[in-house]
Amino acid sequence: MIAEKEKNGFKESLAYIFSRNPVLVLGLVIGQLAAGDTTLQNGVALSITYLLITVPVLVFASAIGKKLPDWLKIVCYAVLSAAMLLPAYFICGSISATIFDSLGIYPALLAVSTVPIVYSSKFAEKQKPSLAAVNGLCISAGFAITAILLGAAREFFGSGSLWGFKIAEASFSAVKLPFWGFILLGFMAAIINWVKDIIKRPEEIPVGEEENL
Amino acid sequence: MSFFVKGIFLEQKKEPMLTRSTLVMRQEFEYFDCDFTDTPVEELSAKQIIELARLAGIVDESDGKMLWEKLEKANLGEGGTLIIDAIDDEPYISSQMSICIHQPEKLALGIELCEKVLSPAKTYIAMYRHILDSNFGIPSKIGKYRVKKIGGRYPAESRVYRHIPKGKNSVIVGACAMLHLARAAEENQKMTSCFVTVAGDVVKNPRNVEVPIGTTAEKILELCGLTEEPEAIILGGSMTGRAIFEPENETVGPTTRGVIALARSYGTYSYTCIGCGRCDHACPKALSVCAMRKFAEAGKLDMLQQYDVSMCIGCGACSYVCPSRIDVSATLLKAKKQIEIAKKEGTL
Amino acid sequence: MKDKLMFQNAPHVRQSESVVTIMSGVLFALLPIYLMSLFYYGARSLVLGICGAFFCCAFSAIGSLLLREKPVPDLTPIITGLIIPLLMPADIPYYVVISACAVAIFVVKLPFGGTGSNLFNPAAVGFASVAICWPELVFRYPATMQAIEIFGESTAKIAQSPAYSLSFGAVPDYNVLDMLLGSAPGPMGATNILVVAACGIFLIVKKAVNWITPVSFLVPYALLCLAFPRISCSSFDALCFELFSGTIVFGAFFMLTEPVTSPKRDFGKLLAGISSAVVVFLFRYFGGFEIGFASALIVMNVFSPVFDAVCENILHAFRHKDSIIATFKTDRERKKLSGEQAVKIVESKEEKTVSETEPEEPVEIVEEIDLSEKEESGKEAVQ
Repeated sequence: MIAEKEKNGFKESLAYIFSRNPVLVLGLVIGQLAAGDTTLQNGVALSITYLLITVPVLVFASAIGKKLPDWLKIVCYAVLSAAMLLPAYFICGSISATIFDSLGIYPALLAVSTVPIVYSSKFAEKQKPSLAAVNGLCISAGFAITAILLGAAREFFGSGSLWGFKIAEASFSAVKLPFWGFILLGFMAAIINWVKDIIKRPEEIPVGEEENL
Repeated sequence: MSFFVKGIFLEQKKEPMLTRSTLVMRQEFEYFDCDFTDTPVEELSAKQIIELARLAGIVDESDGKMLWEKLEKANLGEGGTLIIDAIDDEPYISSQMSICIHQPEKLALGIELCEKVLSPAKTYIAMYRHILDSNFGIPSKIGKYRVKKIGGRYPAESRVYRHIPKGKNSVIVGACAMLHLARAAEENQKMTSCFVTVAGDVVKNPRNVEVPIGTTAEKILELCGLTEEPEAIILGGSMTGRAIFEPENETVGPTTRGVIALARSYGTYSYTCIGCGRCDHACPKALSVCAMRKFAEAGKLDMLQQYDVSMCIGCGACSYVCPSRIDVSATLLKAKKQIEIAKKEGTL
Repeated sequence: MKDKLMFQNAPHVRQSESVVTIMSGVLFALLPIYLMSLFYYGARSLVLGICGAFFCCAFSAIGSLLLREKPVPDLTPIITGLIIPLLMPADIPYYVVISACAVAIFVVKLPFGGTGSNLFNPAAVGFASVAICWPELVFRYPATMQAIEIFGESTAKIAQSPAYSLSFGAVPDYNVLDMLLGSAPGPMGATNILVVAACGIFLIVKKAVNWITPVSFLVPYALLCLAFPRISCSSFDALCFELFSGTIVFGAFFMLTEPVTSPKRDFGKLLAGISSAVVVFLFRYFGGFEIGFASALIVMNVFSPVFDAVCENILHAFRHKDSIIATFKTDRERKKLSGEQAVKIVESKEEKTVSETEPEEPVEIVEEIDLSEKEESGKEAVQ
C-alpha cells in the first residue's frame, strides 16, 4: 500500500513538468518571467536560481516544518530561500559575470514567490522528504522548460541571437518588453491547453459521434 | 447623458390608421339580447355598475384583467387618480387612440360610470404626444375629461405615473374597456368584440377594425387586403408582439392590440457585439444591458441577478437600437425566466 | 400567405443603422485624410494605406481559417489597417506597416476572440510595438510638399517635427497656421488638423462616434497644457503647439472612440476621457518617446471595464435607493432608541462571537500538535 502511494505521488509530481506546469497552467511566477526573462542566458540563470531555492526549502519543510511553531515557519522558509540566493549567485556567475546584476530584483522576487512560501507550508509538510525533493525537482523542471523556451524565443526574435551568438537578422526588439512577455506566456499557455485538449479528446468522445462534430 | 435620458424615439407610422374611421366586422352569429338592468344610465348605482361589468364580461385590454374585479378591489381613498390608458406608444398601433378620436361621447359616458364607482379626485386620459408623421391634433378635452399628453421617448407608460401626487393611489383602465362599459349600460350589449389595428407595409387598406373576439388573423388580413406575400405576421404590438406561423389558427383576444404584416423580416446579421453601448443608453430602467447579455450567454445567473435583470420590462428598446441586430431583449427575458425557475427550485 | 413566414424575435421594427453603416461612415471619414496626405507626400501614402488594409484583411482571414470559423464580412480590419499607416511618416518602409498589422491582428485581436472582444486598441498596440522596434524609422519625418518614391529606399528630405522639438523644450519653427493646415512635418495623417477635425465632426454628426469622448479628452488636455507649459512663448501658441503636434487630435477622434475598448455609458466615457487626458499629458511631459498617445491609450484601455463597473454601481444604488434609504432610517432609529441598550446589544454580540470561536480552535490545534508529536515520537521509537 505505502509503496503504491509513493509511486502515485511520484507520478503526480511528474505532472508538474507539463500538464500542471507551475507557470503556464498554475500561473505562479508569471511576473518575474515576463519582466526578467529576456534572453536565453537569463532564462537559464533564473531556472538555476529557482531549482536551488525550491528543492532545499521543500525538503526542509517536510523534514522539520512540523516541529516549528506556526509563526516561525514562514519566516524560516523565507530566510532559507533567500540564503540560497548566494550559491545561485556564484553558480550563475560562471555563465556571465554580470548576469545577476542584469536580472535586477527578479531572482530575489523568486525567493519569496508562491512555491517556497505557501506550497511548502501547505503540502510539503505532509510529505516525506524524498517525495518533497522529487516534487521540487519536477516543479523547477517545469519552470525551467518555460523559462528557457521563453528566453530563447525573446532573444531570437528580439535581437536575432541565441546565447549571445548572432544567428539571424531580426530586430523586433519590442518582444523584450514585459507587455510582450505576458503575451508570449499567454500564447504558450494556449498551446498547452490545446495539446491537453487533443490528448483528452479520444477518451471523452465515443468513436461514432466524431463524425457529427 | 445616459444618467438622465432613457428610452428611444420611434417613428410612429400611425397614419392613415388613426384618422380613418373604425371598420366594423359583422359578427357571424347574433347574440341573443341581454337584459342587464332596466334602470336608465344616469340612475345606476356603484354596485349596479360593477354587476353590469361582470355580466357583460368586460376585460381590460391594458392588462388583461376583468374590469369588475379591478373596480371592486380598487380603493383610491382621498385624492386618488383615475387614468384612462390610451397611450399607444408603439409604432403602427392606434386602436385605443382611435376610440378617443372617433367615439368620444361613448368613451366619456364610460368614464363617467367608472368615476361613479371609484369617486377619484382627478381623472385624465393619457395619450402619446410624439406622433410626428401625422398632422392630426390630439384634442385637449374629451367630454369633460382632460387629455394628458405624454411626451418623451418610448416606452412612455411608466411616465404616466409622474403626474400622480406622491403617496396617493391610482387606477389605470383601458379606453376600450370604458367604451364597452358604456355600451353595456346604454345598449345592453355584451363585450363580444375587440379593437385591433391592421397595419404594415403590405396591407392594402390599413385601418383600425372592430372584430369579434376569436377571429383568426387570416380573416382580419383578408378583410383589409394584402398587396404582397408577407415575410412576417405579428400578433400584438410591433415592439412586444410575437411573430406567428399559422395565421389561420391564431385568433385575436381582448388584449390583442394589432395585426401587423411586414414585407421583409428584419433579418439577422452574423456580426458580434461591438460594444457600442447603445443598448445601455436605450434601456428605460437604466440597466447595464451590454454586460448582462454577456452574462446571459455565459450562463452566469448569479451575476445577472446582481445586475437586476428582474427589473427588465421587456420593452425591446435595446434590440431596436442594436446595430448588430442581436436579440438582446429576447436573451434577457429568457435569462429572467431561468432565474425565476431557479429561484423556485431553490438552486440560486 | 404562410409560405414565406419567418421567425423573428420581439421588436419587429429595427433601427436602419447597423454595424455596416457605422463602419462605412468611419471609412468614409478616413478618405479625406488620405487625400490630404496624397497632396503633401505623393502616391506613396495611398499605397501604404492600401497595403495596410489588404494585409489586415488577409491576416484576419488567415486567422479565421486557423480557428475554423466561418469568415464574416467585417470592415473593422480595414479600419485598423487604414489607421496604422496614418500614424507613421509617409516614407516608412512597407515591412514596418505589415508587421504592425500582423501584431494588431494576430496578437491583439484574434487571441482575445476576434472583433468585439479585443482588450486593447489593435492599431495602438501595433503602432507602439513597431515604434519601439524601429524608432529611427518611425520617428523620422520627411518634409512636406515633396513626392516620395512609391517603392524602394526613400531619399526624401528629413525635417524636425514639432512634437520632437517640444519634447526637449524648444519652440517649433512653424506658425499656428502651418500646424492647422498640416504643412508641418509629422505623422502622415495626423498633421492636417483642420481636415481631421472636420472628419471627426462628420463622425459625430453621423452618430458613429459619441461626442463626449473627444470633448472630454481634448478640453482637459488643453487645460493641463495651459497649466504646465513646456516651452516659453505666448500661452496661446504653446497650447496650439501642444494640441496640434503628434497624434492628439487624430487619436481623440479615431482611436479613443473605438467602441470595443471604450466604456459603454456616457459617464464612463467622460471619466475615461478625462483620465486618459491626464495619462497622455504625463506620458508626453515626462516620457522620452513621442508615442505618448498610443501608450497612454493602451494603459487606459485596461481601465475601461473599471469605469463601466463604477457606472453600474452608481446606477445600482439609484435603482435600490428606496431600500437603501429604509435601511439607513432603521439604523438611525435603532441608535436613537436608546444608546445604552444598543451598546449593550453590541457588547453581548461581541462576547458571543468571542465565546463561539475561542473554545473550538485552540482545542483542535492542541489535539493536532499532540497527535503529531505522538506519531513522530512513535516513528522515532520504531526507527
